[in-house]
Order: sequence, then structure tokens, then C-alpha cells
Amino acid sequence: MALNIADVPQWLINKLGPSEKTWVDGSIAPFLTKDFLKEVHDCFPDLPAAVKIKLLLSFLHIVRRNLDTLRPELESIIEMAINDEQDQWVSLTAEFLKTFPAKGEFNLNVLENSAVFNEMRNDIKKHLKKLADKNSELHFVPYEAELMNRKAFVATFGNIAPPQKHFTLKQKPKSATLRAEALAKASDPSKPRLQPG
Amino acid sequence: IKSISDAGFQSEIPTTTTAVNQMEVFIRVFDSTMGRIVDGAPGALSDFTKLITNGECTYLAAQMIMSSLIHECPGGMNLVKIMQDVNESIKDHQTMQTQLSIAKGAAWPKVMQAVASMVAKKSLNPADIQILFQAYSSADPPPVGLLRFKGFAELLIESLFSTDPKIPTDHRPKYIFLLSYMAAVFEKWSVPSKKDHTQTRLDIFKEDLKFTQESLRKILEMSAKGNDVVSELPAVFNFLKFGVISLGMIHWIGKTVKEPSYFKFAGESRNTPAHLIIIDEIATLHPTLHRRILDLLVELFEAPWPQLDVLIRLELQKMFLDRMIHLVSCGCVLPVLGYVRSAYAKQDTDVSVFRHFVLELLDVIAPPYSVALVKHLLPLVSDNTVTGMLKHADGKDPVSVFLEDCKNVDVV
Repeated sequence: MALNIADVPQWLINKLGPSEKTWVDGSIAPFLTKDFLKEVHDCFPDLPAAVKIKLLLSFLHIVRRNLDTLRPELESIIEMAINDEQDQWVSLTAEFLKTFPAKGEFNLNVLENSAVFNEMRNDIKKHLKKLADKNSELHFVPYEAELMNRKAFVATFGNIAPPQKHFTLKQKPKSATLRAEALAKASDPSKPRLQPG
Repeated sequence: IKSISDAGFQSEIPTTTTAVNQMEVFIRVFDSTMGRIVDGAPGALSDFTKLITNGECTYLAAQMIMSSLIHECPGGMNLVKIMQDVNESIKDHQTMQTQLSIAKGAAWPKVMQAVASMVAKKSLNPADIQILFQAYSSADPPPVGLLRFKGFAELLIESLFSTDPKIPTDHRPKYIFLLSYMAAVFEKWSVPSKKDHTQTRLDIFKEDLKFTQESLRKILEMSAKGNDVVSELPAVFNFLKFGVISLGMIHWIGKTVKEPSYFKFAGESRNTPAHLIIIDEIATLHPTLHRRILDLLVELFEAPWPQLDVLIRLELQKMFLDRMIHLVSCGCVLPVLGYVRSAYAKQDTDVSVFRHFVLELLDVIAPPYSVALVKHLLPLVSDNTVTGMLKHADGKDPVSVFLEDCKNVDVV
């Protein structure tokens, strides 16, 4: 898309929205051409932190086939953002995106921000350990449990922790009799078949 | 904000936007909220979700950190559900790219695109299905996790188990293949590398794929004919052992029984229709589907059924509560009791319906009772409007016995 923008920073601020808007919809992705990205690169250090972050996250909306051609420009902006000393969110976001232009995947080899990355990882580990110490079963059950064959589910996610017991079952409810009757009727051709409804 | 955080009141902070701007504060709140989730504190998960979805950068960071731990530490698999709940809460934002990359989709851009586009449009299309079918039937298929997106699985289930299927006949096997693939195939991945947390796929297990596919095809044939499902009950029960078939049947039965004429006959005859007996069977076989079953029963219980006589509607409501009692007997206790309690509090259903529930329930349960059960059930059982007429002077009736047993439970 050909673009002639006199004031790139102002244009980015307008397009990416006010600082209260913290999610990116990708609407600027089509404007991110090679030439434009070079201009963005030059003014990047002076952009407000919120704009820097949203600009970086807009990269996720670039069509895959364009990523290759834009790769050098994207990578140089990402590199500059990783070394941003004013806002750590800018730097951390950029580090996750480091491998995105080349491979379309996120980078988890976090170096510049390893202290915060590892601190949060260790916090979670510490909490999960409490769960795992109780028993090794799954306490939070992902939605796949509804869908997957038991064998596949257990091999992928592990066994589900049994539910808490709330009472003793004195006898089976009436549903058990209904079940037996329905099965008997279905397997006995001499009796009239069940009708739906 | 920082002073609040320094003073240790992390739980006061999660919902404020400014908090997340300071990394140091964010980390503390993140830590304390995660701790509360693990302890099972009420509302913790929604606080956590609010905290990290304040902005896209906090969302990305949290998902990256959690995804790096799934295969790396004991209990890590619990994070999958937490990540899913977070994603569920931000459906309005465009995060499919992020989610698909986390699902290791980067090397399969066409497959990613096909899944993302169908989920975004909430509609399946033959061209995208064809792309997925080809990719997953190839010798080196994409990771199964890329396919198993809730939104996509639901679209497949809805279109295959519809009472009015619109899939072109020659495409149907591909839809069945993809749904079976999600259900039956699993993979073995390497331990994440220490350096960049990447994993490689070591093996794919497809042994059960064919059988699942064949069973799905057969049950769909039966349900297309309608009556077959009822007359071939033993065969249907056998197929229900597949979670994916049970999930589909809940959907199909829901559609079937919501037809206006369906319960006319059942209500008059007081017979429980076979479709509801199938629902009972699913509840017995699949604890993981209890929530879905309860949602359906609640919907049926609350439906106005304007075409039915008032008395018949009361009979039907009792019939739906019987299904809920079956659910209780299968271990789905607190969600059912919580619902019945709230339905009674609404005061818009005849009290005889709840009397029936209490009577039937007390018939099957015995002590020792949990504190939570007593908390949920006592208000209903001790309410004289509901149970007054069920009590006998000798105190040996089920209601009095239950009330007596409750005295031994220490409800704080």
C-alpha cells in the first residue's frame, strides 16, 4: 500500500489508538511496507511506550508471505525494542517476537529480560508444586477431556483427579430401572419398540 | 499502587489497569493470584484473567510463561485449562495467531490459516476442510494440538450432529476424519530444551483412529434415521463409550427433544423417553460431560413449553429433575444441588416439583455427608413448605432422618 505520511509518530499514535486501548486489532498491518518500516525504525526510540508495544504486537497480524520480505526491517525494530531501557514491557514483548519474522513462532530463549521471565516461571512452579505434592493427577481439566478418547487423553494430559465424595450411595436411583427396562425392550423383538417421545 | 503492593495487599490490585504498567507490581500480583487459583479460592481465576488480559502484552507474556512450563514441571498440565479459560475470556480480541503459534503451528502456515479463518468466521467451509484433511492424512501431519481448538471442534460437532445436516455427502467423510483425528490421535514430544524450551515430536499414535472414524460414521447414520437410535439402544450405548460420540449425542438429543411436539406424548404417558435414558447413560460413562448435560437439563427444566398443559409441564419438570438426581448419583453433586437451590429460590416453579426432588434424592443418599452437601441441601430440606407434609410424628421418615444426620456435620 503506497503511503505518504509526513508525521510518522503522530500517524502511529492516531492509528494505534489512545493509551487506554491496550489490544491490537491488526488494522495497521497492511501499511507496514519496507519503506514505511524504515521510517518507523528512525522514530521508534521517541515513541510512547504504549505505542511501541502496540506496534510490535501488530507484527503478529502481518500476512505470513510478507514476513519474509519484511524480515530485515522487522528484525531491526525488534532488536532496538529489546534494548529499550525506558520500559521493560517493550523489551519483553520484543524478545518474545524475536524469532517471529524468521519462523512465525515465538522466542522463549529470553535473555535480556531473563530475571523477570524466570521469576514469574519460578512463582508458577512453586504454586504448581503444591498441587503436584497432593497427587500427580490433573486438578484443572482442559476442555479436550470432553472430546478425546480416554487413552489419548490420559497419554496427553494424565489422569483426572477423582471428584470429592459428598455422600454414600444407598441405592441406585430410579434411572437404573429405566435403563434396564429400555435395554430389555430394545433386545426383545416380541415387545413393541420404544418410540421417541 | 506500588505502596498497596509493597504493603502486601496484592489481592486488592488485579483489576486496575495502572497496576500492570509497573512490571514489579505485575509480577507480585501475578504470583499471589496464581497462588489463590491453586488453593481453589473462589473468583481467583477470573481475577487472574482480568489481570493478564488488561492488555495484549501482559496476555502474551503470561501465555508464553505458562506455555513454557506445561511440559517442564510437575503439575504443569494444569496450566492448559487456565490458559484456555484466559483465551475464552478474550474471544473478542484477535489472538488466534498467538494461540496457533503456541500450539506449535508455525511450520504449517496453510493449516494455521484454515483453522483460524473457520474459527473467526464461526463457519466451516469445504476448501479449508480439504486443506486440513490433506495435511492430516499425509505421512508427516501437523501437530494434533493445532487441530484441537475448542471453537473448531464445536463447529464440527454442530454440523455433523445437526438434526438438519448440511454437509455435502461426498465431503462428510473428511469432517468425520478430522473429528476422529482430534479424539483418537495422540503424540509423544521430547522434553523441552533447557535453552529455548522448544520440543520435537517423537512419535504419533494413530491406532484408534480407524475404529473411532467407523463408530462415528455408524452413529451418524443411525441418528440420521432418527428412530434407529431408540430401537438399537444396546448398540448406541456401546458407541457412547467414545467421548466424542457422547458429546455429539448431547448436542443432537438437545436439538431433537426441543422440537415442540416431542414431549407432548412423553408428558401424558409419564414415560421417560429413550433419548433421556441415553443422556443418563452418557452421565454414567463420562464425568467430564456432566457440565454439558446439566446445562441441557437446566434449559429443558426452564423452558416454558407453551404448547403443553400445565400439569404435563410439571410432570416433565420432575422428569428432568430425575435426570439431575442421576447426575448426582454419578458424582456431579454440588453443581446440581446449587442449581436446584437457586431454582427454588426463584419461586416461579410449583413447590411439588422440589418436593419430588428432595424425596427422590433422600432415597439414594446416605451419610457420611460432606459439609458442602449439607450447606446446599439443608435450606431445601428444612423448608417446611417443601417437606412439611413429608414428615411423620415418629421421626423415621427420610426428611427427619436427614435433618438428624445433618446435626452431626459441622457446618461453619
